[in-house]
Amino acid sequence: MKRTAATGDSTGLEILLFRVGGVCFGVEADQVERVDSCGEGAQEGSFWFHDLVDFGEWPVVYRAPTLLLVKIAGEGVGVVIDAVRDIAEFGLDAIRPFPPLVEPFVLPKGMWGVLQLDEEIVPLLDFQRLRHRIVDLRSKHP
Amino acid sequence: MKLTTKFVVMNAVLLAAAVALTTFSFTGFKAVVVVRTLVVAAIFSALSIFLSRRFFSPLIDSFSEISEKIHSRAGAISSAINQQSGLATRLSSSVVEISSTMEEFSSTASQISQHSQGVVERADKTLEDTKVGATEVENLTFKVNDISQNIEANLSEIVELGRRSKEINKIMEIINNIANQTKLIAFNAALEAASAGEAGKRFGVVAIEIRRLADSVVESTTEIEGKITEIQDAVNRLVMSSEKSSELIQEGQQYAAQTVVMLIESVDGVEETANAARQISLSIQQQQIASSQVVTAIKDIEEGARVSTESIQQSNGATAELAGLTDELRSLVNSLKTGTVSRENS
Amino acid sequence: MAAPEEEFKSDRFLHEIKRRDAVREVVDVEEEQVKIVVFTCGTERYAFYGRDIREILPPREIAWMPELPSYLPGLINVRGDIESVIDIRCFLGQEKTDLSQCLVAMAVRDDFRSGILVDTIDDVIDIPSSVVRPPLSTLAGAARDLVTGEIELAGNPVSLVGIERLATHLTI
Repeated sequence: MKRTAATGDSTGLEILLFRVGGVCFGVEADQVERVDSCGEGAQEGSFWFHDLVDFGEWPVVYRAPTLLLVKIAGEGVGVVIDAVRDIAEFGLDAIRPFPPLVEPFVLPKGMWGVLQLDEEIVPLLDFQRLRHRIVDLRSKHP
Repeated sequence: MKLTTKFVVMNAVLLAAAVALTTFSFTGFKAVVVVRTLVVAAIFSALSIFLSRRFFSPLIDSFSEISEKIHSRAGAISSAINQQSGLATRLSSSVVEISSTMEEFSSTASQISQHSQGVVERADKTLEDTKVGATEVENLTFKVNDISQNIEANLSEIVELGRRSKEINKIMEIINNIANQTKLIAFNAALEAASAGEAGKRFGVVAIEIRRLADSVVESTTEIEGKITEIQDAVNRLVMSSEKSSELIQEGQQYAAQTVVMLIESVDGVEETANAARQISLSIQQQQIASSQVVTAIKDIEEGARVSTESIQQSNGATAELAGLTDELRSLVNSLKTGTVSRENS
Repeated sequence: MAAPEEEFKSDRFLHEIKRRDAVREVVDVEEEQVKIVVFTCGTERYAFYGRDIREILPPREIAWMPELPSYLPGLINVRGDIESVIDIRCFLGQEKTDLSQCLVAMAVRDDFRSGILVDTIDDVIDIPSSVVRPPLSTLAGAARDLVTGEIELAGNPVSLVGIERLATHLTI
């Protein structure tokens, strides 16, 4: 795991890296209260990651379902992901915004930027941005 | 008895005559002699009459009996002889039949012998040919093995060639990649040149040259790739045909091996045939010897039969004579009897 | 004895040749040339305007992102910069293919900036503007919007795609 070299930029971000459907995502570690391994299905009140973020035709398989207890608007929300990959600190210069053509699509869906990890491009999620979606989902499935 | 009587009567007559004579004619001494003689004669005739009565009649009787017996025996012998003659004749004709049969047998046996001899000769020839054939097949097998090894050696060389050409293909790929990348550089250079003004023009020219170079490289590599593909196709075809040849050779070798086995088996069969033919020949020779012995024996029998027939004929003649004699004897006896009787009677 | 201002015959030739050269230069300068980038997409040939294309990049892995439309297959890394890529087949009506083998034409026009995935770059050439014809009427769908003109190269038609048209099309 490549960490940003000391470039004088003290601003760093602790990022929890996880995978869903083979795709790697990142979330600010502050947003995650707890990580639990969970059983077969989502627990009461929890959400499958792919319900929050649309994968379209991309195949989503959960081999080792893991529960992230995420703080959203003060409350803890369970989000089931496939596996936690790592938790590490990265400098801001390792993070880039989405290209202008792409931003309008991803920003409303919680993805605000990308982390450059060697050759990998990792989208960063802000679960706070997803609170409306969660509310919507909750209203549909009380 | 009549005979005796006749005899006695005759004697008596004689005696009487004699006495008469003597009495009348003779005197003295002669008369005495004559009387003595007459007396003796009369005595003798009385004796003879007495003896004949006593001994002669039985003799005659037994004579008669014997002659009858002889006659009947002669008859029996004659008929027996006739029978024997008949049998001998039949024997003779049978012998002739047997003889001719044996002759036929002999000639047939000779033919078989000749044929079996022919079989033996042919079998021997076949045996020789088969042995030669087996040897040839073995030689063929050796040659085929040589070819097979040769082909295998060639095949491995060809496969090596194919492998090498694949390596060349990889190099081609690398060259192609470089050429494509070069083209890309040329394109980008051209794009840059557009925004670089006057200097860009010359840069653009350079870019064009680079582009041309890259194109010609790609052309060459394409050509070479084509050639490599041809080589590989040829190699594949060669490999396939070699494999086919190998298969065919293996099949051929199997057939050759089978042929050798069959030849060897047929050699055994031929040897058996030849032996059997020889056996037949030998047996026939033995049989021929035996049959000629039979013929000889039969001829002896025939000879014997013929000889016995001749002696039979002779016996028949003798027997006829004998029968004739006995007839004479009988008539003689009869006449004797009659004489005695007539003498007694007279 | 040669006259000082003697005129050689070859001088006359040279003069004429130089005159013609000058005319040609003028003509060359006056005749507007436009650089185009000819590419292949599916079975057809198209071309971008050279001024719209910053550079051409070799093929690379595309990082898929969720929530994106089908014409945006993902993001690429270009010397440290994150760029979007557009699958222009979706607009030109061509068959889908293995995008990781496609070259990337980096298109920049005003605020529009994105990589565009193409099968091959065939040429980067200058053509006289005068040979550009209006687009064929047989174009259908999105292509109608994107194609600004038509030229003929080696006997085959090449449709010119305007990046500004693409930008407009996407923002709608």
